Amino acid sequence: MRDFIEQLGSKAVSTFKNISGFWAFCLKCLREFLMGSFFNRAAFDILVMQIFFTAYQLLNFFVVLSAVFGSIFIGIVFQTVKSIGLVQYLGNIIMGVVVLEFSPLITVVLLALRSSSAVNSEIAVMKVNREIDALESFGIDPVIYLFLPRIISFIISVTILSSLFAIIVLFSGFIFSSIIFEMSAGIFSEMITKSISVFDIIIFYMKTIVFGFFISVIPLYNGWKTQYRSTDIPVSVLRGMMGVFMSIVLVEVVSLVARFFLNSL
Amino acid sequence: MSETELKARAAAIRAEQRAGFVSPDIPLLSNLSVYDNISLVPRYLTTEKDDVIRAEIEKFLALLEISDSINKKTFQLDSETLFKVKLLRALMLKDSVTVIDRPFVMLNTAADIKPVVKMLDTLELNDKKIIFFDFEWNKSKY
Repeated sequence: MRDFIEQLGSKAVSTFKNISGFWAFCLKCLREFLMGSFFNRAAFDILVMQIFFTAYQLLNFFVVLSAVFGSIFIGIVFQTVKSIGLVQYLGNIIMGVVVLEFSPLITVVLLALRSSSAVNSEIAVMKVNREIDALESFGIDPVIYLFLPRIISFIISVTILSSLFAIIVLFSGFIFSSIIFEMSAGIFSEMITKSISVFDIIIFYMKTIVFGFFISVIPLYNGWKTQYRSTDIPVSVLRGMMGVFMSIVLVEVVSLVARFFLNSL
Repeated sequence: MSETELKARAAAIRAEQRAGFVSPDIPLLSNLSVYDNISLVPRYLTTEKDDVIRAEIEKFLALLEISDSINKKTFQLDSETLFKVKLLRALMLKDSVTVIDRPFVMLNTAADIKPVVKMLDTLELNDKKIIFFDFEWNKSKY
């Protein structure tokens, strides 16, 4: 019984240390962001390079994916709406489900799979190879030089790519609505503008910013906390990716609840 | 951090100076080129113009006869070139002591300190303070 209580206590302490360490890391990053530390030219180079890797390199694939996936999804939604006779809610369904929920979610999942895992392993390898110690020994703060540019680039990338996905999906929606419902461009745009509120747009962009923050800061923190052993790298990536998954689910739930409350005001 | 580095850091703090380390325990950044590794310190810590920094680094690389390595990554370098790049990175930390920690671990083919002294002479570091950290226990090689 005593062993069990000791184990439980030790687990609770280590979990608390982990969580408090993570939030301290987030606060340090936020403080450096507010101080404008990313304007340091060496850090700014990393920021530009990371936007190139995270958003620009993905662009062709992303546009094709959005067009194909968005069209299929819109096509299915339209057929279902038509068959159950809910055409009057078409605008709400397109904006509420497809654009505001689906676009950031698909974007963030894609970026998490592609870039968060890469960043997590990159930082973990740097830690194991003592490259982060090397930076510190020369007076270079890894938060300013390594972490902050990556966080900002993820936020920018998620926001831009989610908006792009939304635009492509809306365009697909217009094409499908003209084919299935013989709807004109004027009626379609009127339907869309009627079914969106300012709160929706604010929450959409807030969500992309929060998504971008968490899918970068969690892998960075886990990479940074890697022990000086190469066997710890996969464990670090595993923890990081689990954390990213949990954060995506959490942000999605919180944003849904927020939208529900704000729209019912 | 190894004991020698801690001692060197303590020595530098006592002298109220920063230390630029050339050490087997302080690697170059593997995802950066030779130029980026060397220029990182002045670009991060100073407001010196990029073209001035580049000209200085190109001059040093030419003096050490490794100009052709400027765009290479660290895994493409032999141990001597790696040492030279580490040395140049440390020298980029202005107003600092340069601490060369266990040079014979990094230059494993060198029988004595002459190749390192030759490099330092070539670079014409007039008033630069250099500390060799294995001098006490490797006196025979100096």
